[in-house]
Amino acid sequence: MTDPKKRLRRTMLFLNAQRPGLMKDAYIYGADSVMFDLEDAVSENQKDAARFSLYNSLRTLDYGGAERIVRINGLDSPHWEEDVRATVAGGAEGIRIPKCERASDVKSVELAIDSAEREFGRDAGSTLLMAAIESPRGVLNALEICESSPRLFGVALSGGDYRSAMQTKYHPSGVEMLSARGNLLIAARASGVQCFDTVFTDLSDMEGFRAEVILDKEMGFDGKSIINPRQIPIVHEIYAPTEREIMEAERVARSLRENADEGVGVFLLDGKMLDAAFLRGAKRTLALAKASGLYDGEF
Amino acid sequence: MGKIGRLNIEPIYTQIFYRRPTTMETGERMEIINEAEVGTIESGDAKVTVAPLGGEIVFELQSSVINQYGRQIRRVVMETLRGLGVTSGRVSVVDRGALDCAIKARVECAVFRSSGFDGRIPWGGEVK
Repeated sequence: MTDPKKRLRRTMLFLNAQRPGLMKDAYIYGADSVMFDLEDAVSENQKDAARFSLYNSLRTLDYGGAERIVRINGLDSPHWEEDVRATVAGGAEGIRIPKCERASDVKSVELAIDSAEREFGRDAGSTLLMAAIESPRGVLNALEICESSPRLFGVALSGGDYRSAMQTKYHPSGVEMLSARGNLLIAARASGVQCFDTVFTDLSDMEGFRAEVILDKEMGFDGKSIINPRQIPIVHEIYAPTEREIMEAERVARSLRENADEGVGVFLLDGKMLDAAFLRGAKRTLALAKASGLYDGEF
Repeated sequence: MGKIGRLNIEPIYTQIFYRRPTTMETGERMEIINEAEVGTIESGDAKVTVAPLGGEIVFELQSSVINQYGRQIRRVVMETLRGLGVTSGRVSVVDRGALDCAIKARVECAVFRSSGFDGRIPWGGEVK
């Protein structure tokens, strides 16, 4: 069985947990993960209603295999602990912590989840975590955040607050986010967790969105936060490997397995040195190909 | 019975159901104390209003699909109230094609707001 922390997460579709009309149809759009938002999308006087809506949706609706994550309210609010209880009781797969700045933020939520899993009889450790980095301090502390909890499967950059804190704004080249994206990716890769890029908010600029997704893929992001279903097929198309990449990955995986069976760890394939380090990349390519409906082979 | 709002294309019908509490439902926890409203009239949602009323539950429903789903919506509302231990109050639902789970969520939240409850919600307990 695949490690739930390592599952494919090309797209995470944000949905307002206060709007049942949106939540009921979420499965149709084919996002890898759906992100029920209790935070910014929900006004202060509707936090309770959103929680009831979330809990009942989690308990009742079938999301067709999409992962269900809940963005709770910030740790500086009076809402986040009840958000955690509703989320764990409802049985969501994960929680997104907003505005993470240090490892202790993750640990605070981890303690609340421990308690909620005991209270509601859920398996200990079954609720995963991801941390959203929204500030310069969060970017600087990315490594300690990435290494803060065994529940943590990934970190996500949140561009709105970060750009504002850096006294800049969106630029099509992505130059204003370059250092944050790079720092976060390096920290995530160093600690073996996934990394997700920020939302693209201009729905009238699909070409700009496409360019940003290409940049994300080339930089090495695992996926992207999404605010509209129209963005999903573009991400999936860009993240889908080419036929040549799929064939190459399958050859690499097969050669590595055959050589490993014969006790050979390092060898040449078409003049290029290969070892076990290449297997992870090949397997990821094949997993993306499978998710894109392009490959149904043995790996 | 009649059209409500100039943008409505479909007729919206209103029915009122009266229901007295049974002994099964008495002595439990939640109580409708203040008027409270939760939800919207967006498509796929329901607006639920509860208000105190002595001795009985009065259920009022407006829905464009009342002939097809009126009994089902009523059943969901009554089961939710029973689960919460509510034995009296006026409960009005304006349905806009909400799923059962959405109606249940709106009723639960309305009752908790109405009761002034300010503690940890009994997820998986009274809130099933």
